[in-house]
Parts: sequence; structure tokens; C-alpha cells
Amino acid sequence: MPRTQASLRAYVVQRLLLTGPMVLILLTLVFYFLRAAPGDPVGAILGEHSGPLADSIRRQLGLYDPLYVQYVDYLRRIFTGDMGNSIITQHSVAADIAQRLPATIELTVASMFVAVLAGMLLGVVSATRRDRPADVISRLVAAVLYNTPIFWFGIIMQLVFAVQFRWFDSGGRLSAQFAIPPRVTGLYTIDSLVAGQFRTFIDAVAHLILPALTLGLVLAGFFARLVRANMLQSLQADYVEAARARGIRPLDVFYRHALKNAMVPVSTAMGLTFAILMSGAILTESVFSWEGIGRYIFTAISNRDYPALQGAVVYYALIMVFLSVLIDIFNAWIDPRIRY
Amino acid sequence: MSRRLVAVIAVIVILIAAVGAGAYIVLTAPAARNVLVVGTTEREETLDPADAYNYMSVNFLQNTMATLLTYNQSGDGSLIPMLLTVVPTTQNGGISSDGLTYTLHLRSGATFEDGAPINASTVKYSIDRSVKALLDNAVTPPETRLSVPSFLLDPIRSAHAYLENFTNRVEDPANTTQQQVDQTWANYSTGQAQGVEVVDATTVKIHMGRPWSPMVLLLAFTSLAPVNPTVFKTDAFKPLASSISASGPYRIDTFVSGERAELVRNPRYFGAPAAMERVVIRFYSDSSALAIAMATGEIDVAYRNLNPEAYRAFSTNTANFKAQQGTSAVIRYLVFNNRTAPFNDKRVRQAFAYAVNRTSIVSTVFLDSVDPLYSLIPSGMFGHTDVFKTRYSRNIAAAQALLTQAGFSTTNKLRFTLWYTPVRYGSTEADVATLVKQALEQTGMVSVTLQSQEWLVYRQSFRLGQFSVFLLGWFPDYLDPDDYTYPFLHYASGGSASFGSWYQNDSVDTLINLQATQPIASTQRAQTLSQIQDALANDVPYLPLWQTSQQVVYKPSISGVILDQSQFFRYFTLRVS
Repeated sequence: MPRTQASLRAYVVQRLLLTGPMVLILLTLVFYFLRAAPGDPVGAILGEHSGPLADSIRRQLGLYDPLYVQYVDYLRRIFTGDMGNSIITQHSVAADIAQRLPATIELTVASMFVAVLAGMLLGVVSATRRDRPADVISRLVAAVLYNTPIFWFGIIMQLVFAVQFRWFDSGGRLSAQFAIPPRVTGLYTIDSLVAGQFRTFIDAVAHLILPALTLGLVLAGFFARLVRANMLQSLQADYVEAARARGIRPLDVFYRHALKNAMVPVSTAMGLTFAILMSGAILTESVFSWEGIGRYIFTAISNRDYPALQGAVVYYALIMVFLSVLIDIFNAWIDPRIRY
Repeated sequence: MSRRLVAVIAVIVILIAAVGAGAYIVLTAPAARNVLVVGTTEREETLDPADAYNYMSVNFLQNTMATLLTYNQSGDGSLIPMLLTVVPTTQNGGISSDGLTYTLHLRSGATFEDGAPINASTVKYSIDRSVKALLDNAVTPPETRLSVPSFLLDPIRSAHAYLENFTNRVEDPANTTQQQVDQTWANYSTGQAQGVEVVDATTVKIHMGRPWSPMVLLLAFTSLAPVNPTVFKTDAFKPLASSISASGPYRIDTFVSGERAELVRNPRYFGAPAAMERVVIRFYSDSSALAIAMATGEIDVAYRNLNPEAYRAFSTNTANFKAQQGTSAVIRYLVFNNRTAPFNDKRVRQAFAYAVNRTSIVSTVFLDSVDPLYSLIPSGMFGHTDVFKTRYSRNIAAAQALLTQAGFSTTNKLRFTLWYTPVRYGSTEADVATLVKQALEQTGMVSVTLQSQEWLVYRQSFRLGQFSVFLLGWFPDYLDPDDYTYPFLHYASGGSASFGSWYQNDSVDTLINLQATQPIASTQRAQTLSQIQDALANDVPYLPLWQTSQQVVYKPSISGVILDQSQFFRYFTLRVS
């Protein structure tokens, strides 16, 4: 036991040490791609004003400096949290992102919940009833979900559940009839509970349902396939055979032995899925008028809001790195075979 | 007691406790508020009057800040006093006979949200700040937008010299010293020839550098609205999130950019109190999201911007919705680059004026929700004449004749690219371009290629003269024919160049200068404007296409919706019955 703990600690340390270079490579790529992209940021900022003014602003932005000077300056600014000002909102990009991040986190976490729950359900149903009608139907549903365009699915959800049945609002994070709860975390579901505003909480949850279902169900298709494949594999494994031979109840064999082991690749995939979730959030947030980072990036791209785009991409990238480290450590903890 | 009984009792106790706690929470929770909800796809950029120049920024300020003058609620577009006691005219002595001095009499007792008084020095402070603060901000930070409304104040005495020196200093620091800038600023703000002069606590004089009759309209614009000096500093724009210290019917209670704004009745407002205690404005991603929100009843009013199909669907569903359409001063037109061949040939431009089909655009793309436009000055505005209608009724043969004269034929076609931008003017733009192409190609002598660019690149391209023919739109700065002629047609000031047309007609320049000095709604001015429009129809540097309308959809329980040419959407008149 102590040996395992020691090796886990070593793994975590190694993993964290590797994170440094990983972040650096990522930031370098962002720097390179944004500068290699066509279009002059100053032209985009000034529009009609060109000539000497554009020149003086290029000087101020340091665009005439050698690339390595720009690069060092860029890194310095990131580590001091200064990402410049957005052209559109004129606020500091860091403040803009801080304001919108909770909305995206709320949506992403809720979607992940939907995705894992629905995905596991479909996957387990499929795997346990292999090649029977339930399996065929589950696989079909999973395939359809996985290939559904999020944008279209979101609008259909709105039309059915908001326009037709009037069960939910079509967009936004809270009904206008409720005041925004005092900001603690920026997550309305949590802030409303902190403030003891129970009805606001219910309203916030109700507003989460459609966007979370939209984003979550599309991803559930992906999870369902993964769970099914892994379940089938572990159901054929020797230890399952052995468990059956010992006369353990089939359900116990299934959940205690097969499912648990099938979950390792699934939890790894969850980390990667967060990346897909984030990109899906751009579309989902647009459809549901959900003011998060996704919508911010969307506006930044369409307005060539260069500082905002760079800032948002960097933050996204850092979040992804953080999550992947977390998932790796979690996996190493549940599966002692995972070591360098 | 058996274990079973204990379990049953425990379950019952827990159930009662849960129900009790739930009931307690629900019953003591604050009830849902009674609010009026307006949905929009527009976005604010700033809440600083010195900086506000896009629709939603100005709209928020119009509902929260008292301006010197305002527009009549009857919707006839006439000016009425707000902070002033009377609309200045030459008759009442408010405007001097040479048009160089505007004497403003302020009402007494008006205050900001915090109780600070609005007096003559507040007015001077605010106008001076509008001339200056924004320009200091224009360079640092460099990302800041430059399209701030200071240029509108250029006709004020000594403002021109300051603005010019400042711009020179920014653009070419070697040739203009900071000292020169400071000197011109001192001249403008405090010198003998200062622009805005405090006479006494309730009297202000605005001195003009040149007679400019549209000035009276600017008194209703938000960049001249008095601001609270403790909140709005001269050296910086106010950050979006902080208080604006309201002086109008509403004050801003909550503002979450991109999500919602909540306006609450301002108890210190001197005028008639707003009809509703609280109005919530919700921001939607796009027209379809707005239409869906209206259909579900989440919002009470949908204003700007529903697409034509959605508007039509709501307007036919009269049992559940009210749809109202009003005039708008936004015009759409085709621009010709008057310098490049073959569009430097007047006959080609005239041929296009014969061939273009406005009615097909209006009915096919906009389902008759907009009106065809036959001049640059919109219909309904002082001085408008239907010059293109009288001169060019649609006539393919006439277009062919002119094209033949210009050297084109069915075998030697005029080939060119028609440019448009896909987002700025809404999703209908590609359809418009296609219809223009079809109409022109009906001559058999023209072959059109359609191409598009995103707005920021588009704007650069046409200003650099890279387009020969392209679609453009105009959102007015002030509701006066001057704003529809001077920027478009005046060559010497660089106006026509800024539209990518480079139209030059010196006699038109002279006429434009003349109309700006003539009394604002006089017959002499109408005559001058008519002459300008005749030249416009003869030279066809632009081809006016249509005039947009503004549309609003609301629940039948809502009243008090006013749509007028001023585009000033008032929240404080809205009421739920």
C-alpha cells in the first residue's frame, strides 16, 4: 500500500512538471496562429482610419517589434493577467471573461451531467442486451444523437418545449420576473440558494434544462458508444467469467465488476469531451441567448475583436490543461497501472 | 416496537419535515415581480453620453438621461423642451438673427439621481466634455473605437480648431505640439472666443463658429445631455458597469451586458413619472431567438430586430399579438465609385437608375414592410422630393439606349462585381443583391458577379476605392436633410470620399453650404434642397433603393408604444393593462 501511494505521488509530481511545457507550447501555438491568420488587427480596430494614426497605434501595440519581443511581451501579459481591452465592449478582456465564465461553467457542468447519465444508460442497455431490439434501438438513438447538429437540435428543442408546450423559456438564464441573485459564484443556481431565494433557484434550473439537454444529449451519443464498447469488452474478460463461475448474481457481476472497469476509458474520455463541450457551447449559447464565453468568442470572431479572441482562447486553453491534469490524476488514482 | 414500525414512523416524520420546510421556503420566498419585459437583438457599446453613438447605447441614455430638448410623443417629429424651458428659435430670440448664438434657458429644480442640481455650469461641463474627453481616450488605450460623436460638435465656436489640432497631433506628432493642442483647448473652453458660455445659473449661450441650422436638433441628442460631474470625469470614459447618475424617467438598477438591463422609475425625475415601476430589457442572440421568445410570451415587447417573415407571422396573428410599423430614417442605396471606368460615365449610372427594380426588392425580400426610396432625403422629411420617381420610371429600353451610347452591347457586356456585406444590414442582404443583379441583367447588356465581405473589411475596401458598385446603408446622426446631403455629396469636406463615391460637383458643394445657413424649415431652404436633389438625380452618384421601417410586436395587454421618425423607443410610456 505505501508503495502504491509513493508511486502515485511521483506520478502526480511528474504530471504537474510536464504541465509547464505543455502550457508553454499551447500559448505559443495560440500566439503563432493569431498572428499567422490573415487580416491586420490594427486595420480591424481602426477601420477607416489608416495612415499615420494606424502607424502610431501599431507602434503602441508593439507590432513593429521583432517577433520574439512581441512573444515575450505576450507571455508577460498573460502571466500578469493583462489581456488588453476588447474592441467591442471596451472592457478589459479579463473582466469580460470573468463575468461570462460562470454562465459557461453552469451550462457545461449541467450538460456533462446529462451526457454522462444518458450516455451510460444507453450504453449499458445496449451492452446487456447485445444484438437484441433494445440494443439496436439504443445504438440507433446514440448514432442519431451523435450526428445531430447542435444548432438545429437546439432550435427544435425550443420549438417543441418552449413554443409548443410552453414548459420552459426559450432562452436566457433567468426569467425577467426574478431579480438576479447577489453575486457570489456567478452561477445563478448556487447564488440563489446561497441567498435563500428558492423560487429563483427553481427558475434558474428550469432555464438550464433546454440548453443542457441540447448540448448533453448530443454528447450522450458519444458516451453511449464508448460505454457499450467497453462494457462488451469487460463482459468477455476472464475476471467476469470467474465471477460468474463463483455464482455471483448476474447483476452484481455486471455493476460491481464489469461496469466499474469499463469506466476507466470513459472517465478519460470525459476530460476530452470537455473540449467538445466548450466548442458546442459556442453554438448552444448562441441559440439560447446564454451570455457565456461561447457567445463572447462568437461575437469576437465576427467582429474581429482581436484582443478578446486571443484572451478567450488563452483562457479556454488553460482551463483545458487544468481539466486534463485533473482527469489524469483521477485516473491514476482509480487505476494503479497508469504510471509513467 | 418492531423495526418495521420504527421505519414507518421515521419515514412519516421525514416526509412531514420535508413538506413543511418546502412550504416554508416557497411561502416566504419573494414573489415573482411584476415587470414589463422588452426583448431586443441590439447591444449597447457604452453608457457614456460623450461616447454613445450606436443605437442601443443612445436608446438607454434617452430613457435615463434628460436631454435639453426632446421629441414630441405624438410622433410628429417636432421638438419640445425637456431641460430647457423653451425651444430656441429666431422668433423667440433663442437663436440670434445671424445664426451664431443659441441662448438656452434651463428649467430650475432639475437634479440627478443623487440630488446634485442640473444648472448652467453642468451644461457647459457636459458639452465641453463631449468635445474633449473622448478624444483623449481615442489614443489610449489604442483599442478604443474612434467613431465617437465629437465631430458633430465641430461647428461650435473654437471647437473646430481644437479638434483639428488634436487630430493632427495624434496622426502626426512631429508637426503639431501638445502646447498647440492645449492652447486651442484653452481658447475653446475658457477664452474670449469660448464655445459654451455660462451667463447665469439657468442661462447658457452656445456660440457657433459658423451658422449651422441643424444645431437645434443636436440639442435633443444624447451627447449634449448634461452629466453628473462627480460620475463622469473629463479625462476618461465612464466604465460600462458603474452608475450613470440618471436624470431622466428611469434609472438603471441592474446591468448585465448581453443578458439583461433593469430600469427602475427615477424618483427624482422632474417630468411625468414613468408608467411602469420596472422595465427589464433582455438581449437575444439573433432575430429568430427574439421571435421565439415573443412567441412563447417570455417577453411583452419585441423591438429591433425581427426578420420580415417573423414580423408578418405576428401581424397576421391578431388574436395574440399586436404588430406596429413606423417610419424610419434609415435609408439604403447603391454607391457608384464615380472615379473608376465605366462608372465615371454618367450615362452608365443613369442606365442603372432606369433598370433597377425597387418594387421587386420591397415586395419579394421585405414582404412590403419597407418603402421604395426615390431620393437620398427620406420620404417624410423636410425638403424631400421624389426626384428619381419623376425622372426614371423603370424603363429597360431607356437603359439599353444609354448603355449603347456608353459603348456596351449584348455582345460587349458591361461586366462588374456588385459587393454587399452579409451581416451588418441583416440576413436579407444577399437576396437584395441578387434582385439588383437580375434587374440590371434584364437589359441584356450587363453581367453582374456578386461578392461579399465582412463589414470591417468591407468598410476598409470601399474607402480605399476597391469597389465600383456596392450596397450601403445610412443611420442618421440627426434628423435633418443636412445629414442626408452633406456627408454624401459634399466633395471639399471629404464627405463623398468617405462613402467611396468620390462624387464631385462644385455647384452642389455650394448649395449644401447654403442650405446649412438657411432657417431650418424655410421655403428658401426647401428650394435649395430641391436643387441639390435635382443634381443628384441628374448625376446619379448614388442610387437610392428603399427606406427601412421600424417594427415592434407586443402583447395585446401592452399600450403606450410610440414609433416615430426619431427612432427614440420610449420605455417610460409602456404600460401593462
